[in-house]
Amino acid sequence: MKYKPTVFRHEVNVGQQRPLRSVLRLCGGAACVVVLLYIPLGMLIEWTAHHVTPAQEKWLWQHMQVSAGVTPAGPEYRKMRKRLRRVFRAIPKDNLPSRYIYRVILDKNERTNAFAIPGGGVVVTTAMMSHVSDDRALTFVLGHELGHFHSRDHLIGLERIFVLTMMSTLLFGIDGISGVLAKITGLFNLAYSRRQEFSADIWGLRLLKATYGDYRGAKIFFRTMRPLYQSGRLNELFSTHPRPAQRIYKMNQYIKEQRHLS
Amino acid sequence: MLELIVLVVLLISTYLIGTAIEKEHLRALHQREHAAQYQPFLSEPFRQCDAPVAAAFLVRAQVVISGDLFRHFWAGLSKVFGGDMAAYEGLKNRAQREAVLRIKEQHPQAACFVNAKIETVNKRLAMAKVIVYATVIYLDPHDCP
Repeated sequence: MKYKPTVFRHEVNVGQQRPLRSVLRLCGGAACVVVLLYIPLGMLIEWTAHHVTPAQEKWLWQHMQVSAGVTPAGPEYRKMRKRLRRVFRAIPKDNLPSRYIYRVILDKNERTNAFAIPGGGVVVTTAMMSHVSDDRALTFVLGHELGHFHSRDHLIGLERIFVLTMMSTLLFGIDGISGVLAKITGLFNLAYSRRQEFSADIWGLRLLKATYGDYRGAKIFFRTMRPLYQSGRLNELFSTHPRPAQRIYKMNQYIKEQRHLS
Repeated sequence: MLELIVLVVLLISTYLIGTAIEKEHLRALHQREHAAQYQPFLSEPFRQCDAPVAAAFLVRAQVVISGDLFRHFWAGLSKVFGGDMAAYEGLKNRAQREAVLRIKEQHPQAACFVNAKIETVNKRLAMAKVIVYATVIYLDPHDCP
């Protein structure tokens, strides 16, 4: 018998799926899974955050081994630290949770930033101290950060990042896909973070009013920071903070309400 | 934001480049398979025929084909929901066909290949490694290497 070769015209061992359509369908499915898990987990996180004691917070922060910043040495930084403490002491903290022992930390950093850390710490960078030369504006910054303690935003933020990272690693493994999806789900987190910032702004205004009797500090702060802000809706999507224009609008609304009430 | 834009650009570009490379490889494979179609490549043992065997020895070839970023992304998503790993089916198929052709092209005068084994090694998801080994049979002593 003579050998007759067979030439296959169609490859049956390779799936006939359309790659782009398949990827889009899978991305949609992954988004549904993430959203369905994210909503109940978010509620659970908020519930647990309000039940964590400051002592537990402090313990958690110590075990996370995250540096709260480099404490700078030198006469110019000593002056900054002195000013920071003076402004901080002037703020009446009657309305804030009394369970915390609040403290301010000066961090040698070129990024103009301030943030709240678990356990009652407010970190202000040296760049922020240099930019914000007005004490009223600095009071607004500190008041804003202290407001985060009232809503326990610092804890909720940490827990959300932890849960999202764990969720994406368990679902997609420790590879590039996990990183990509963590970034995408991180956008949900940023949207939540921006909502938190509005309420912290209101706390900043309240503490400003309690300290100086007016809200001028917020105006000075935003005027000082104007050259540093990136505007645009697209930038806002990837930012932890809302656009300054939106923040100012919300704060003006609050001030109007307060004037109306008084 | 920049990272996500870079990722989307990379996914689109790797999809386009990867698809073009795959099409070109499949076209070349088809042509080469057509040229080597009269050399049987069998998994069965050799059966003695009328002509005496002039030479018989072991030959082997291996091929490693890498997947692109798009396929890796697609496979990563498929892992979550299950189903066909379509992202790598094409890779594995091309690697197997390429390995068989490499053996055939090393011995263009051989009568046939018997006792063939094709092994696929999945070292990492993003690539397909195939090792093929077989016994090459020469019937005509003048054709022997």
